[in-house]
Amino acid sequence: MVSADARFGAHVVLVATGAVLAVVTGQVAYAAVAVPLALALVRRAGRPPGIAAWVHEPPARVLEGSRWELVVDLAWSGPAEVDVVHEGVGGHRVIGAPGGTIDAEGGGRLRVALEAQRWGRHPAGRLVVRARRPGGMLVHDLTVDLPGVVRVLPAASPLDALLHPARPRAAAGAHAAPTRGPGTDFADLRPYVPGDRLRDLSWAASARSEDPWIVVHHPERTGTVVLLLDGFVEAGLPAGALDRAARVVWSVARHHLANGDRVGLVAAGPTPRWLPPVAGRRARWEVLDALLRVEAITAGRVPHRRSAAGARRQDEAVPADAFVVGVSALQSDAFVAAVAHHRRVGRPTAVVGVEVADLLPPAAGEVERAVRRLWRLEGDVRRAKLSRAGVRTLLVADDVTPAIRALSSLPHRSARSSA
Amino acid sequence: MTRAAAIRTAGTVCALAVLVAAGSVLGGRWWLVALAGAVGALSGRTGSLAHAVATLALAGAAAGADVTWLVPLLVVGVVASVEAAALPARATRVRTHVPVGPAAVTVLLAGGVSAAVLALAALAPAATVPLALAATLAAGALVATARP
Repeated sequence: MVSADARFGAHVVLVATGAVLAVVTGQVAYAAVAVPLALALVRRAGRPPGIAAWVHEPPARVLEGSRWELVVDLAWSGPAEVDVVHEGVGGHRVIGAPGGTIDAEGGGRLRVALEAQRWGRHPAGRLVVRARRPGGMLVHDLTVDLPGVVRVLPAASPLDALLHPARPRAAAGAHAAPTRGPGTDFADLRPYVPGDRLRDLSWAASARSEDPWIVVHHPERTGTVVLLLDGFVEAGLPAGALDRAARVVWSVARHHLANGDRVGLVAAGPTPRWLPPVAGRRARWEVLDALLRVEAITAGRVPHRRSAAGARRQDEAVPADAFVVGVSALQSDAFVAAVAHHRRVGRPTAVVGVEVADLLPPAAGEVERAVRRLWRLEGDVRRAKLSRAGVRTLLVADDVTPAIRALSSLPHRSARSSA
Repeated sequence: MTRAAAIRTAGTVCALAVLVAAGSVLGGRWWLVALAGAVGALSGRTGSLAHAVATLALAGAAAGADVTWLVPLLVVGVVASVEAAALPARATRVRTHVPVGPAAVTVLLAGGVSAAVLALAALAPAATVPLALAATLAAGALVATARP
């Protein structure tokens, strides 16, 4: 939109009135007022330039807490004074000035330093631009929506324990299988039989008993972990609840993928997402991509009803031997029911409850305090329901390590045997 | 005092000084016109129209009283006031300091051109008004083409 600044109106009035009066009265004095202002108008009422802007590709990997620079190139014709302000990228903090003035001919470059604060897919934002010719009275105000999306990856906590599936798979990995075979984890001692390898002899046991004894190992195998992310955490809860839950999911997924396990992701919520168990180098990006999509859609609150057939297909796709870990703020009965279902059908199941009370602002007034107490009680009721279903729940805030360490030592029993 | 306020004050003082000078030279009822112009100059952007009308009236009176040297001063006063009123408004979130230099040059050029028109009138009285009208119309046409 092109508009005139405060000087334009006064100049036009003086020029027009002065010219008319000069003609009507023949007085040179009026012309002496009108002419300089007319020349000033000509010199400074140049049409402001149109602006084209394009954003440089943001870095492919932006981690929470890392800093990067948004670079925007602007182009126009001729000389111009261009004030540019970037309104900011969602989930980011602007470091320093969000914009600047470019006083140049043809174009210029804007650099905005940003710090990623919240994981997710964030639009590149928009520029607010005001352009005018040098000293000009006409200004061109426009906003430019920058194309592109910035993908901020959640920061993962370093974990030192793995969740152990009940029945590891056949491929070699990090979990000790209940069977006996070649491996490094000690399982038992047995008397030597002809054909045993000498390297498996237990020299200490053989020396004590004066008979040869063989060390038997558990073979290390890969396992499958399926993570259930409760996408309902954002509904009515403080901003950051879903972020925290997703950080837990990503911490566990990253650690297991690094150890060769398969990781699947089920995001329950307004728009369910399902990533079948995957392993390998590409799996990290597939899991992250699925996580980022959960964020993008949940934030938009798109209502969606999961079909019974879809739910059944999803349940069937979760391997029977997978360790199912629910990550939730425990504010959804539907999520509790889904987790209990996995336990009921015999999968080892646990829940990492994400603590969100510290994210809430201090309660103002007695009514709000009462509401908070009820809210906490509802969480307790859901934990009790899970406990009755045989699902262990561990609460975490920012550090997920103690909870995973505790879950890694869980003895696995089937739902039927524990009942 | 902030820089913007200082610029605004300088422009207003310049305009008021010219108006007081005009009132003193022309005397009588022109004091009232000068006063109206001063009120316009003091009220800034909203009063710039009153200041402009007062300037034209005083320029006509100066010509009638044969004190045409007052006209370039009136032009300098009104341009200084308008430029100073607009400078702070040109500042934005990122452009907190608008340069004063170009505005000062504009004020001086306006005074110079006004004096040149009067000098031309002294040399060729019959040609001045048609020439000035032609220049003004040409300027108007150029500005009109620059408008959106």
